[in-house]
Amino acid sequence: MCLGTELCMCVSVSGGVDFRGKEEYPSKSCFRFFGGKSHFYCLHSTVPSIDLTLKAALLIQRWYRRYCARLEIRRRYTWTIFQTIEYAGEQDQMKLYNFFNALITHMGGGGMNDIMEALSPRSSPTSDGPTSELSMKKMIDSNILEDVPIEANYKGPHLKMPLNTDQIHELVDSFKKKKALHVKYVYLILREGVRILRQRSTIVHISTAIAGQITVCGDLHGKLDDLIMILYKNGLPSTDNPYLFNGDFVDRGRRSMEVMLLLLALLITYPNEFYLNRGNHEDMVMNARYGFCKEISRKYKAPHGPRILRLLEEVYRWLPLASIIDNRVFVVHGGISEDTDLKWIQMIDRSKYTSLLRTPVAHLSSNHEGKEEESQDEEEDETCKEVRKITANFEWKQVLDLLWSDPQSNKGSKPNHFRGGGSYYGPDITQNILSSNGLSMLIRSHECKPEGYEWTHNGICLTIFSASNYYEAGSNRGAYVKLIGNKLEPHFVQYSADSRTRKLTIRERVGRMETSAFRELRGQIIANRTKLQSEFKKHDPNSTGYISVGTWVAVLDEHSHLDLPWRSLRDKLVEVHPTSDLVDYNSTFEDQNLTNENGIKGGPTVVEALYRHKDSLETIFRLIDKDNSGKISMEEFSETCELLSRHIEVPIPTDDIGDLARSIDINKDGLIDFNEFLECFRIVQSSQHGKEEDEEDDDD
Amino acid sequence: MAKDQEKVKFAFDIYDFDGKGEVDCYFIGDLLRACDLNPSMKLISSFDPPERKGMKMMKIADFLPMYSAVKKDKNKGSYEEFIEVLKLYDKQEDGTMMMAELEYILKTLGEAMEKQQVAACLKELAPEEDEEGMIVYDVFLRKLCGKA
Repeated sequence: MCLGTELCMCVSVSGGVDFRGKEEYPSKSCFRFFGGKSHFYCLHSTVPSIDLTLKAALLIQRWYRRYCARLEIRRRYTWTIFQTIEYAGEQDQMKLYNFFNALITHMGGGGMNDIMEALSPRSSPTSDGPTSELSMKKMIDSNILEDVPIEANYKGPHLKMPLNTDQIHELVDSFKKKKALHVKYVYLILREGVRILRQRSTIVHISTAIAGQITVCGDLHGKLDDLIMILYKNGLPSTDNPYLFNGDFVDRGRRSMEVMLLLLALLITYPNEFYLNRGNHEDMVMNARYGFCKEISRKYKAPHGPRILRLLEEVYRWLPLASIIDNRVFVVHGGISEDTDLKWIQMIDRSKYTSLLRTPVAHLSSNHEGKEEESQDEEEDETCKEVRKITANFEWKQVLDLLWSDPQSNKGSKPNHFRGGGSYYGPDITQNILSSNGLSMLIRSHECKPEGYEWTHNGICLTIFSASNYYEAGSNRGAYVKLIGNKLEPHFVQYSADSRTRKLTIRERVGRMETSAFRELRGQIIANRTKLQSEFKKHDPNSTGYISVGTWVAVLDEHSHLDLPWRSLRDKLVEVHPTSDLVDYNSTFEDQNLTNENGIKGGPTVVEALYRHKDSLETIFRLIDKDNSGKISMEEFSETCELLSRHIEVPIPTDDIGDLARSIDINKDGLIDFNEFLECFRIVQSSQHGKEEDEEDDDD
Repeated sequence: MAKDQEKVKFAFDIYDFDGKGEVDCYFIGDLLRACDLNPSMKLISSFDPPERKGMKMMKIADFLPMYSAVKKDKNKGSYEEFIEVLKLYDKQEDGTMMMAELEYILKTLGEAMEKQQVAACLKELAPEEDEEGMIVYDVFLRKLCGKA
């Protein structure tokens, strides 16, 4: 029977067969409408009253909203973990330059010369060591490099100047099919790219008078899929469709080469409608650490690898540092600081900054071969020298601030300790710098945002980030902004280039991110295992294996160098006793260890120290490895480890290094394959099922 | 009680984006729910959340009374209650109901959800419809109530 007939909107129908073809149903049946569809079926029992249904609806809605909020919390703290680890790594990078400075001041000769050379800023083309500048000019202005024969089995595109739209399509198609471009054309694109970039000013002025709009994109970090997505959604550049890419085209993603080539190809094909700003990753030292150098050495064998790197350096040093659109919008990769002086920056010779991780002062005082402008300045007095030093440092700070800074919500400006370079700038700083230059908005990138973009500083500072799924599949969307019309009104387009993630539910996505974040976090913990364990033990004099939660948190706070909410994350990291609120501190390490297959002596402390600094080691190795062969000599290896050991808290005994080197030199040819060396540092489970924290496989 | 406070502190810290000990009142609803409560929109609006971000901030001391008030609300709903109600839509008495009915309920009744929200909710929590448009509602409820 129907309860409360007036309420349940039932209509009595008699007789018949229901839509499932079931048998005749009793005479009192109901027929209901749902959003236009009609269904009728057999009602044996009561129909819920409106009241009850309302209550159900309300409750389900409330629960669902709660479900979403809890997922949101998980997503947010997972994000914090990723960012904290990422920036802690970058901080290392800047500290690396202190290390290099020390190298340069105290060392000299031997393999270290190569590092010193790799890191010194080039002086202006007018003065300078003869060989390198001239030979570089030759490389760029002539076609020497392109005298490379093409193999018969090369099926990729053949490019010819002038580049046109058809060739761009060919290029994109072949990249989509994962074909590497022939090195001959790589040289072509890089050379032509440099030629164009050289002609641009340090701050480029862009006008939308003709097009009526412009599209600004943020970090791509080697994610070719995102670049292709943008071009697909927004079209190729044209007079009506200009583009500005705001730096960080390379590193981290696995197709940095293709991204760089495509961007330069677009620049060459549409020079009046295509603009590029330099990012902090357009820097050879960053590339040595964050993956681009590795990608190149994998895709292009000697002698081409090193030549490509050299050409890339040229690209980087000639990239403009910032752009101004319609004299209203300032676009730069990182941001600003209270010292930012656009007039001065406009006049800087940006080409001397091959890498930003090299302080110019050291250059002034080093007895580096023949690059001294000051050689003739014997008579210059101390004051002048000081002034030059200060000026050089100040200029360097200006450039660093442009490419490394982050906005903050507090007023004022201060050094960016999180990153180790650049500054934090508050809303008042942004307001001041914009007003004093007659500008109304700052657009920058440099930071990953969940929605691909974020407004700060009361709507005058916009962060735009174009690499979707940056930390992990499903971690964030990418976005680009179109500034349209006279008022340059911003319109955002968001996307995710990974089709797999679209099919996942939010919970699945958050789950994956979480798993990934915690895996990375564990890696960081294992890297400090010995120290942490000894600290834990100090608080457990009776060796019970348990300490209080508070103690566990305090130890991690002090010794992990990661500023994370350890207390709240404890359930995921350590076994907590259900009633007594004590933790089994050994479970923090989950029975994981770094491999020590090569029997590195000196025990776990040495292994861990090397593991913690393996990124730095790798960076140095790649810089030393001039011919990009992936091998360095035993001597260079030992020297590097030794120098590193002077700079880190754990000394690595010389003997151990020697042993280590010899053990890695498997074929005894005096050369070490440092990829194999890095392979030594994996995390494995003590049990048989090894849980490896390897980098992703290099199969595209 | 201590565990509760910890939960609140954790969630509060996450929404305290600038580390200043303050959270934007715009997030009152999200924050309450993140603390494992499920207030109705009506209850949340009694705390006067602003319409936009950046208008009003609150400290944890301001938030705690709101938390206690919502926690006291007896009318929380539970998995068992849901089962009772949805059973009434289970015409064939086999644990299934029409997906379309669920959609309708969420979209039109109570503190109605928008079309996209309903779609997201169902995609997230509801199992696949069979050929006749029926779903096993228990699966939905388990996921909803976090028992999955």
